[in-house]
Amino acid sequence: MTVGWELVALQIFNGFTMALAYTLVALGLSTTMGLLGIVNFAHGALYMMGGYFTYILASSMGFGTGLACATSLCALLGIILFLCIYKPLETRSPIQVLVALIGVLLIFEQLVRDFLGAEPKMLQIPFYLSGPIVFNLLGSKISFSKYYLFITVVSSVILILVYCLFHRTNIGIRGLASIQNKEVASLLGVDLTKVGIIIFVLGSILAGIGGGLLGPVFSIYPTVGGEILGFIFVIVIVGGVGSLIGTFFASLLFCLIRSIGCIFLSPNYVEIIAYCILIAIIAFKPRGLLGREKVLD
Amino acid sequence: MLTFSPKLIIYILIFATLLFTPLFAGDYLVHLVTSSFILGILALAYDLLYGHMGIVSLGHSVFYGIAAYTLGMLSVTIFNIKNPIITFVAAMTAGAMLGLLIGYVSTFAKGIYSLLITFAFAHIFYLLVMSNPGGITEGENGITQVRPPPLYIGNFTLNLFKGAGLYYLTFAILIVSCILLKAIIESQLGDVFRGIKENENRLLALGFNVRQYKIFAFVISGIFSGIAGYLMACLENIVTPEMVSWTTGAQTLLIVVLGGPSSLLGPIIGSFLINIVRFYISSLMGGGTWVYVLGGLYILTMLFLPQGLWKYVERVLVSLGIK
Repeated sequence: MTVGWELVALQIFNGFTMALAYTLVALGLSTTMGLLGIVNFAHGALYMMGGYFTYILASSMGFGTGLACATSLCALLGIILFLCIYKPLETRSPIQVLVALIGVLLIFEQLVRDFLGAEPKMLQIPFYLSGPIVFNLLGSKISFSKYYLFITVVSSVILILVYCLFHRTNIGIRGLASIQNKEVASLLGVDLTKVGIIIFVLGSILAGIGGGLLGPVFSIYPTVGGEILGFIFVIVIVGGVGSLIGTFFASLLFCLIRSIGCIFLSPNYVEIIAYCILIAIIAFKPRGLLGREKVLD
Repeated sequence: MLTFSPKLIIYILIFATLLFTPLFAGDYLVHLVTSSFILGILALAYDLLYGHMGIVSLGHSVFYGIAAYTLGMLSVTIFNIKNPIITFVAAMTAGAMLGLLIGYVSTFAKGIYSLLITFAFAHIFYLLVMSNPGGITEGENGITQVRPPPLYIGNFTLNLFKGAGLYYLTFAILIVSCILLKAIIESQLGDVFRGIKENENRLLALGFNVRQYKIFAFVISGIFSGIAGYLMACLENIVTPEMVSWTTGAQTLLIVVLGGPSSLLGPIIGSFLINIVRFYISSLMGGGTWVYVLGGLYILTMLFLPQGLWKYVERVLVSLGIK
């Protein structure tokens, strides 16, 4: 079977786009896990709510503003979750926090089912973002989806902002320090609660944006949170919990495997291969590609 | 070994109630309790790893589901082997081999990384089943018409795989599991398991081959999870991909944490509770309300009863003077 290089190029671009979007969501989980030491299943709920909020608001406010407002709502949800669920359970074992957060995810899924219906919602792309952009490259026409380009641009901007936040601002550096070593950071005067809220809210915002951006791609339904959580979890661990760059590379690795593999094999088998690679990586390099030494043991 | 005590009386009462239930209860209730027994077996198998060794695994759905698929493939899709003894042994073997596989690979790593490997396995098998290679797993719809035939003894027809027969079969297997689990825990093997849970490195320093013990536990857990999967397929007459999905493994974890890990009755209580919530609440209050109750139950239990319900029931009993 001859495969035109245009198809491969297109798939590489698509994979890149998806990798960026997934990195957004995964970063939120990675920083939360790194700092608070919990596996935040409610992250999936925030992703889902980002999608649903955007869906609801987009019809009245337009896509862009809808996305922005949806993100703020997710941030608010994040604060509530942190104060009501995480804070009281701070001293408990991670498994117990995990169970409680799964409870949160279940409740959100059912709320959405009851109030918004269980059938998948198609999020409409605004007309100025839909359709293809055709390039003339080396003699052949390649058409990329305008919306994917939009996702790439937005995600890149946000990721650069997040990186600057963590490495250039005061609060960001404190956050990074707390992720690396909580005890020493607090000894040095970092207010862990404040940093915790900020990181948690940042994660919620990222999850919300991810949900809104990927909404038109995957459509939105009650179990979308749980489904994406598995993949995100994989990206976070392989990339190394708490490592920003590592998360991006892991996301890139798996999204590219997926998008290029899909040219040759059916999606199911591509995913199976991806997960086999995952097992191999974990078994032989358990800290992930770029993980820190002592985060989650 | 057996001391006469109020607690024993309570156990006997519960046992008697369960023993005579099929005689005065309707089909629905029998079905429900059988389902709870099966989940209880699965939960106990899970608790061997979780409560007693401190290993969190999301891979149990593989043992549970693939054993069920073994039954389905042997009796419906590939061959036409209906003999329950053959299929039962095949399911147990499948559980054992998968336990060996997942145990071996996941013990390359520790902690959350080991958890991730088990999760990856669960997802891989789920995808394998869904992709329906060669038509042997019927993909998304699952294998239907799974119905082991009754046993013919002389002039009698003994149907152990339907209704009351299945009820007593699962009850018996549940009791066997409890006895076996108790025997393991109270033996030297149990001491090693406890040691692994408390301080693995110390055990390594003392010269124990910790990894071998872990793999062994995985195999035993796999066998019993496989039995549970086989029984569930008999009960529901269908084998679905959801049985293999990691969400089933997560649900098992939740059952055990809710009911009380590292105990005999805890996981069983958890499985009864989940079934009661799911079936009674949904008929009482309609549709999806049971999910709120379940989610709320998880949150509230973790907030106020983090050691699981059974530990608190035990505490209450002790404070009431019943030892």
